[in-house]
Order: sequence, then structure tokens, then C-alpha cells
Amino acid sequence: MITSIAIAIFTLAVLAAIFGALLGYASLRFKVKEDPVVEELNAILPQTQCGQCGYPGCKPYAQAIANGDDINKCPPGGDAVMRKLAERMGVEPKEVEGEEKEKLVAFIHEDQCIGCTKCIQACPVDAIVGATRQMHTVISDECTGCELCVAPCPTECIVMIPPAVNTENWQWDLNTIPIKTDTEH
Amino acid sequence: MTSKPNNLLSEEQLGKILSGKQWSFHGGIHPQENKQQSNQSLISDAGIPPFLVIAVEHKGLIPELLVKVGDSVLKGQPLTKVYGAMVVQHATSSGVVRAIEKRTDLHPSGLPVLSVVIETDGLDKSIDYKKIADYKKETDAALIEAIQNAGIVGLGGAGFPSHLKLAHSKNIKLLIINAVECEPYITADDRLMQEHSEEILTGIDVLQHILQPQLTVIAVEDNKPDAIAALNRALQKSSQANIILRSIPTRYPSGSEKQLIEIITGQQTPFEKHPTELGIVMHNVGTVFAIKEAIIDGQPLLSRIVTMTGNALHKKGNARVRIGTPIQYLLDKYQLLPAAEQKLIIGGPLMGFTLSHSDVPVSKTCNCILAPNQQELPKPTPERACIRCGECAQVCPVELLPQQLLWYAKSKDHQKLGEYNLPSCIECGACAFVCPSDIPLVEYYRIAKAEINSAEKEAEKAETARIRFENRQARLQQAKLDRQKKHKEAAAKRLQQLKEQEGGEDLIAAAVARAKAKKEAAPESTDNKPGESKNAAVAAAVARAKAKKAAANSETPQTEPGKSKNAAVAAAIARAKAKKAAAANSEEKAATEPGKSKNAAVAAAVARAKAKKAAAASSEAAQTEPGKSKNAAVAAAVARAKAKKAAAASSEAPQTEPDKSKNAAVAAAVARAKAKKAAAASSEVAQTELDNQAVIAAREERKKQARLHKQQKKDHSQISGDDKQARIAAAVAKAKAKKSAHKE
Repeated sequence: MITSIAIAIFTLAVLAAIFGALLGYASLRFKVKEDPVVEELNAILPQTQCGQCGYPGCKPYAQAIANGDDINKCPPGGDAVMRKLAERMGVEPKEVEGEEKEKLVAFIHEDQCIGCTKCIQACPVDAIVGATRQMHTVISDECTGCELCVAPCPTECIVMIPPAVNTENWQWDLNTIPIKTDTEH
Repeated sequence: MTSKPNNLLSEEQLGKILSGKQWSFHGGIHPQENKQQSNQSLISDAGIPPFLVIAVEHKGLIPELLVKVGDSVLKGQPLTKVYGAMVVQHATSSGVVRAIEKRTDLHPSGLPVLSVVIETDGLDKSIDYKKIADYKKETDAALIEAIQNAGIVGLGGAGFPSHLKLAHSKNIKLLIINAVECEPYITADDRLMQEHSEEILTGIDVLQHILQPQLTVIAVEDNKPDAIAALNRALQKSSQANIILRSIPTRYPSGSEKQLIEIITGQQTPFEKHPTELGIVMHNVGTVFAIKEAIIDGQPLLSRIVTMTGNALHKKGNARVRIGTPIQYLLDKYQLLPAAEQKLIIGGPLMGFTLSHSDVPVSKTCNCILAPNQQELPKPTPERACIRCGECAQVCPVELLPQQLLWYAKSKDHQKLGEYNLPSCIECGACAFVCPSDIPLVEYYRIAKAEINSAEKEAEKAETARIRFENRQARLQQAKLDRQKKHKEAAAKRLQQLKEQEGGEDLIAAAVARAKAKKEAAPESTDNKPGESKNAAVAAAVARAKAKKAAANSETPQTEPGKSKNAAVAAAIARAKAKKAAAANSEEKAATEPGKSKNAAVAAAVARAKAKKAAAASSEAAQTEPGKSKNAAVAAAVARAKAKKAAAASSEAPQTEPDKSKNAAVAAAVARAKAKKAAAASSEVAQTELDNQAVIAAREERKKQARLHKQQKKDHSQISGDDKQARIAAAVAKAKAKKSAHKE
């Protein structure tokens, strides 16, 4: 009787040791470096890095959402992004704070630019090129429309304009094609 | 769909094709052909319009222009350089460049693109075409380059650059010449084959030379008997082997690339795969004709056949139109009788697009200009609800489920649209054609495709932005670290330099370091500091000896009570003296005793003690005693001066303790700041006492210091032993304190 109990205890102890070692190894070997939720949330965010959410970039906001912040603080992403975030976090959709604007890109009136480099320092995605006392210009393809460069400009020569349309980025004009697009059915 | 790793056309399949076997594709429709209106007459020449507008921008890319405003140009003269995958654009008649500006392009968007506007002179003078003597002796690459320089794009409708198609075609087994022309109304290829069948065969020769296919199939719909007859005649005349003419049943959209491949080979091209992966390449018959002109005649692509049709045109037929001819010019020539809401369709009624105005030029892909009247193409009736009849699914040549796609397109469910393979929709319009509810299904799909496309582009841009943002963050972080490192290195270097050359501030640091070292080693250091402690030890020893002696005396001569009392008193005095002497060595009290100032060793001890105190906490004490603030400042200065001296004497101290040098520097800075503070507190007093002598003294002292810090240890004892020296130092310190106070 005692022997069988001893055998059982011994067996269980050995098994526990083996699985403990296995789990310990697995936790080291397959360690996830970063919170995958943050990465997923970051992938949903529009990466404008505009800071309108109150965080210095999209990733910090993704981190904040993962830590329980509201999902409705991203005006550039608008309703679509908010809904995706709500779905991912399993919370109720809320109305987005701030107004959703059409996509704009920064444009520098080059004749007014004094070459102070302030906008270059402000740009979160390095979309402005130029050097001290040289004219600056915006690479409109890389511009996210965050407007962070507008305020620092001492000569107020940066304006937000709609991006140029050409036959490459043109889309079928949804308004001129005479069809109804009702989403309720 | 077939998804074998090797989809190459098998020999067996080729044998079946040769034997005359034909396959079919799913669905398809039979719309009213309406081809007889335009295919009865010979191709006419549209003539030279007064202005030619040649678009040079392609998908937002602008090539380098070879002409400028005011230049005279000849027919066939290149206007642009080769720019990436773009083909060269040519002047299509002689004249003068009048403008290089944005003009509306022949594109559903109606957007303006950069164009060269040529005012023609009517002479149509041509440049000398450089002919290739024998193309069979040329390499493939040279021929492909010649085709690029001739500006040839796919003339079937999509306008894909032909040189790219040729360059990317490797291991070709089957060359298909697409002469199906399945869309209603269009007869451009039909007429071309009827009138230029031999040239087309020559063009096929060139393609065969470049691609080396095992078999070439010319596919023509059976509604073009005249074209088939013409090609057959030409084939009989020529000695070409491996070319077969295949007449296929008329069914829309058999002219679509993947559908035609299925008809000819029985194989489906997998989604997102190119036919070249199956060993098949397809070229439009008009492109083949253009390649013949380019390689055999050396003439670039300057014109194309355009079908002018529709009941709103009084004259109908096919015309050879120069690229860049304004459509309004053609409409005038073919006598447009505009109706109230005249529509202008570029391409056929099923896949074409409507023009917003007629002031646009003919492009290389414009195969038909359709000007229908109300009877031909009535206004679309309003769409009604989908009744799920499934007609659309039956006619879809790609075997999609159009009604399902409609729901998902309406609800903007991009994921579901992807699952239902919307991207493989060829927008042929068969579903909308058969829809009993008149739902413009293709329009929904176009919009949905555009949305998916823009969403993908946005996602791509977001990803780029994320990477750029993260790179920037990393770069800024790195720059910050680099800066810190640089500052640290610079500080260390400066320290080192000072140590080696000037000595000035570093001496203080050394002194502080030494003071600290002393403080730490306080219990043992008493033995190590001979000047200071020896005296005390000696004094203590003497006192002890005296006390013992006195005690011994008091024990033995008990018979002399009067003496014993004296002895006890003497012992007590001696003990007190010893204590006092010992205390004198540890406290600054000794400095106030003039009698001891004679003693050089004691003076040195006092100086060092002062240095210690100055470095550590002397100014605090000074501040707590406001009445002594002036003295404190002076004392601090004195301490500084003395510390300098002391450090000069023992300059090796910091070197033996390198790890403490940083702390010493910090301590020195703190001490300096404190000394300044103390000096500031007494600045009022100091200012009144400012005189020339002090300045002179200070100068002398500075000179002396420069000399002193080079001297050795031995000098130290002499100097420290000199009371006078100490007094000078004090004066100098006072002067310095005054000076700093004055500055402030």
C-alpha cells in the first residue's frame, strides 16, 4: 500500500519535473518579444503619426489601446479604423473624436521658404527634404497629411492641399457613375 | 483551376491543337453584332488634322522631351526619350510644336496629361526611316529595342507595351494571334486582315523569329469570313510552316486573353498568373501589323485603324487615323448628326467608356469611336432589385457569382469580395447584359475594385509611413546616443588636456580627490601624514610619559605629600596639554593660536585641514555664520590656493586613483560653485576693499602658481614651511575673492 502510494507520488513528481522543464524551455524558446495585440492594433492604425490621439505616433496609441484607452481617438482613420479597432478589442464602437477630413498633403510655397528646417524636424516620416537656408519641399508621395509641419513654419508657407490626381492614381469617379450605393439591404 | 507546379503546355496538348481540336469557356453571350455597318468599305485615310495632340505622360510619369515649343518636327520624329518601360512617342505628321501643356487624354478619367501640340503644315514630310536590312540576323534584344523605339503598344485595347511582353516571354511554345474582335460594332481588325493579310504574316514571321514558338495560331471569329479567306490566301502563298488559322465560334467575350487561351488550348490560366507561365504568348493582330511596319519598313507606330460607327454618324467605316488626331476632327469628317444627349463611346458598347467631350485626341488604344443614337443605345432603365435568377452566374466567363458579388460590393465587404474572387473579374459586362433587373453590375464591380485598390494602396502607404517613422525614431535615438558619447569623450579629452598642459582647474580636482582620499582613509592616515600627526603623536607621547612619571613619582614618595599633590596637578596639566595638542592637530583651532604658527608642520596641517574643509563644507559653515561671511569667502579662497599648492606637490595622487578622478572633478566643480556663492554673499564688503595691490598680488600669485605646479614635492615642504608664503597666499585668495565678487 505504502509502496504503491510512493510509486504514484514519485511518478507524478517525475512527470511534473519533466513537463515543468518542457514548459520552461518552451517559454524561453518561443518567447513572443512584443505584445502581438499592439502590433495588430498598430497595423490597423493609418500610420499618419499625426499625434491627434494625444500620443506621439501610431504605435504609442496602439500600446495605449492595448492598455485600455479609448478606440475613438484617431480622426485620420475615421469610422472605418475605429470599427476595426472595436472589433479587435471586443468593445462597442464609439463615435470618433474630432472631425474626419479628406486626405490632404502638405505643400510648401517654395518662394516663401526661408530654409529654417523647422518643418523637417517636425515631420514624423521624413517626407520633407531641404537644408539650412536652402529651399525645402515635400515629397507628396510620402506625406501622411499629419499637418505637424504647418504650425512650426515661421513664414506660414506650408499649406495642406489635396494630392495631385493623375491617370495612375485616378479611381472611377464614384459620384458621376449613376448608380445607387445603399448599404442597407 | 490547374495549379500544377509546371503549367507549361504539354506536347500532347500541342498535338491536340494541331489536330484541330477546340475547347470552350464557360458562359458568354451573343449580343447583336452590328459589324456590317462599318466592315463593308475599304479603310480610308482620315487625313491630316490642323492640330495633333500627342500625349507623352504615362500613368503620371513624364519622360524627357526631345522637342520644345517652336521646334519644327517631321513625321516619325521621336518626341520623347525612352523612359523606363515607356515607349517612345513620335510626331505623326510634319509641322511645328505649338505647345507642350496638359491636355485631356483619351481616358475614362478625362484628366489632363502632358501633351505635345503640333500644328501641322499639311506637307506630311517624313524623316528617313532606318530600316533593318535583315531582321533574321539581328538579336532578339535588338529587335525588341527597335519595337520599343517604334512606340508599339498592344493595340487590342489594354495598351501594354509590346516590348515588355516580348522581353518577358521565355520558353514559348504557342504564339496566339488574337484576331477575334468579339465586341459588337468594332471591325478595325477585320478590315486590317482583309486588306493587309500578307503584311500580317510578315509580322508573324518577325514574332516567330523573336519568340521561337513551336506553333502559331491565328484565332478569328467565324463572323469574319472575308478576313479568314484573305488570311487563307496569304497563308497558301507563303511558305511558312507552323502557322494555323483557327476559326472560332462567335461568342462574347472570346477575345479576352484568358478566354481565348482556353478556347485554343483547353487550359485555364490560373488567377494572378501570366500566360507566359504556360508557355503561351498572345498578340493582337493590329500589333503584329505595327511590328511588321516597324521592323521591315523602319516606320514607327504613327497611326492606327479606328472604326467610325454608330447611327449618329452619317458616314461609317474604318479609317487610318494618325495618333493625336482630335476626335472632333473625325466626327466632322464622318458627319456626326448629334442627337439631344449624344453619347460618344470609345471602344465597344460593352467594355468602352463614355467621353465627356470630343476635344480629346485619338490614342494608340482607341479602336472604335461609337456615336449611337437613342434607338441603338437607349438610356439605361433604372435598376430594380435583384431577383436571384442566376442568369449572370451562367454567363460569367470567369465562373464567378455576380449576384453574390453585388451584395458584397453594396455592403463594401472587401474581405468577402476577395473570397469570391472579384479581382479575377474581367469586367466584360456579360452579367449586366443579361440582367433582367437592369442592374449595372460591372459598375458596382469597378467601384468595388477601385475601393479595394485604394484601400490596398493606403495600406501600402501606411506601411511605408510606419517604416519611415520607425526608421526616423531609431535614427534620432542613435543621434542622441552618439551626441552623449561625443560629449563624454570631449569632456574626458578636455580633462586630460588640462591635466597635461594647464593644470589650473585640474589641480583643484586633484586636491579634492586627495582630500577625499584622506577623509576616507582617516583612521590610518594619521600615521601617513608625518607633518601633521607626528607632532601630535610626539606631544601625546610626551604628555603620557610626563603623566606616567608624575604618577610614578606620586606613588613612591608617599612620604612627601606636598609633592604628590603637585605631581597630580602636573600630571593633570600634562594630560590636558596632551589632549590639547592632539586636538590642535585635528581642529582648526590650532590656526588661531599664534604660538603654534611658527611650527611649519602645524601650519601645513592647518592648510590641508582648511583645504579639506573648503572642498567639503567650509562655505556652508561660512553661510551659517553671516557675520563671518567675508572671512568664509577668504578662507575658501585660501583653501583653494593652498589646495592647489598641495596638489602640485602631490600631483601623482589622482593618477594612483583614476576611478575617483571623475568624482573629484564633480567635487571640484561643486566646491568652486560654493566658493563663488560665498564670495557673492560678501561681495559688498569685498568691493569696498578692492585695491590695486590686491590685483598685483593676484597677478604675482598666478605667475607663482604656474611656476609652482611644475615643481616637485620637495618644494612643498619649503613653501608650506614658510609662514610668509602662507600670508601671501591668503592675500591672493582675498584678492581673488574680491575679483570674483566684483565680476558678479
